Amino acid sequence: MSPRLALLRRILGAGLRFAAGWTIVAAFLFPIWWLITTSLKTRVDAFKIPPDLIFRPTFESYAAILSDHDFMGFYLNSLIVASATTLIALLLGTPAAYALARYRFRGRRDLAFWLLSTRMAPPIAIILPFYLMFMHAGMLDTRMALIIPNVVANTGLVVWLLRSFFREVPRSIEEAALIDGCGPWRAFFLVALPAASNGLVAAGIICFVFAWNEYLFSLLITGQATRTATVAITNFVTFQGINWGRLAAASVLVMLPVFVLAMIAQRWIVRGFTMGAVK
Amino acid sequence: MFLFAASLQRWSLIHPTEGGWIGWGNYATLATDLRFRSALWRTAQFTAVGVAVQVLLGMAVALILAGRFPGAWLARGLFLLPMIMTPIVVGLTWRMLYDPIFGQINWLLGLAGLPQPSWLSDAALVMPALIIVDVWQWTPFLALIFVAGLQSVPPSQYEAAALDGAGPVARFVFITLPALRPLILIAVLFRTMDSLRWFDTIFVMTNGGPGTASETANLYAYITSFNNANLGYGAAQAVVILVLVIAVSLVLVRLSGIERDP
Repeated sequence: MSPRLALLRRILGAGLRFAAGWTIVAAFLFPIWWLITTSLKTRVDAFKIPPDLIFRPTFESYAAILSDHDFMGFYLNSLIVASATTLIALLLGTPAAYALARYRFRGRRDLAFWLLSTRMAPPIAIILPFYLMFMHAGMLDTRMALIIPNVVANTGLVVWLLRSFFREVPRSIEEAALIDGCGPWRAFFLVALPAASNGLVAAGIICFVFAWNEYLFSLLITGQATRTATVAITNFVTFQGINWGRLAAASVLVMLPVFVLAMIAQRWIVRGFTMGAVK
Repeated sequence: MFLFAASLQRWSLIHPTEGGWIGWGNYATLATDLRFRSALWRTAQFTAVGVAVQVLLGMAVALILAGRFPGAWLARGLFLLPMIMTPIVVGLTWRMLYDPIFGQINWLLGLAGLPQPSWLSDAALVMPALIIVDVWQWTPFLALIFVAGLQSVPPSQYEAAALDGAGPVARFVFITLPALRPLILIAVLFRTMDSLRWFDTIFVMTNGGPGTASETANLYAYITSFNNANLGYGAAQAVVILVLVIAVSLVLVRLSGIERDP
């Protein structure tokens, strides 16, 4: 066909894809958009049917939430628990991942599968023994009690993810270091680790996201003192009716860190969610 | 995991209120518990339908999003937001959307003149409603996996096929699908594992209601353990669920070849 016709076809194709692609994305983002706009509406507006497309945004819901010391305390708890979980999981998982990636040893495949199986366990199966243990130890409603199950649930993910990153580090640079006289530990710290720093960031972010989003563990283990934000949001659903504006604002606040982190770690999100199986 | 399984065994042998060992009693009760069986069945349905729809829809969307068009990179970036969203928030948001009077979904249906049912209070509609939410949240996950896969197929293969006279459908079936097969299996593996464990969203949307219409196995285990305070029995349920999930996952892991070391 003539070049002009080919060009026209290309433009049409791109145009159709543009329309289809953005329509799909818009459709999928609709609930999120709705959540955000609801958080900016006054209580009356939030209930209006048909909903106003143009309205006067108000930050009153956010103001109410941010000045709610209880809720902000819970938010802080989420932050602490998620950060601690991530730190510990990374500390435990990184050497393990390196070992799995570089060394051959007996039971290597079994160990890897065992770690993968932590992803298979329904959360209720994980938390039940912990609940009973902590109850007997009188440790319920402490932050440590929440951090430990989270670490257990997420370390497998960290290990598998980091393993895939370590595999990508070319062996040659480690071998060069070993030839130069580095012991295996130094080779790990000074060569492999910096080379896989991308992976560490990715694993850290993914782990944080999962720990932050955790609900069931928090629900069962925590009480007034250490409750996290995910559980706190459900307190807005009371019998007197749902305060949608506040609920939406709180929800947006809870989602915000996760959204930001996800945008930063975009490239590795898919990898993270499949524990390193998909690049 | 074996540690947990072992401790679960022990706990499930203890009847808390009586403080005695009842051996396999819990499991015996479980075998005849109709509610548990329905819960398991519901979980299986939820997962099977959900994953199937997500894979198909995800593939369709991926075909569009993998192409080049203005702002494609941005579209793909934004597209990952649903899957990263806190499940509790997802549940609450959709609960608002599904509200029969004030929710947007019924409003939109009303505009089109379609019936506006009470989604979460109708026993027949509640499972489809939940599946829709699951599909909404995770189709992007599958789509993004497939996009990565689609973009890694060398165009030369397509060109060669086109030269041989293969139409777009044939090209898809004989080049794209086989190339994507490992990815599809991995995606199915992870989605199945996650879907079988799903709890947060269902809990906050319906808590298993109306009645027990949306009660999945996980939910029932939770209710048994903490609402009915029957920890021993709940633990037994948890063990059964765990074993089933591992069994299913094992099959899928083998199929997907994820454990093969390079």
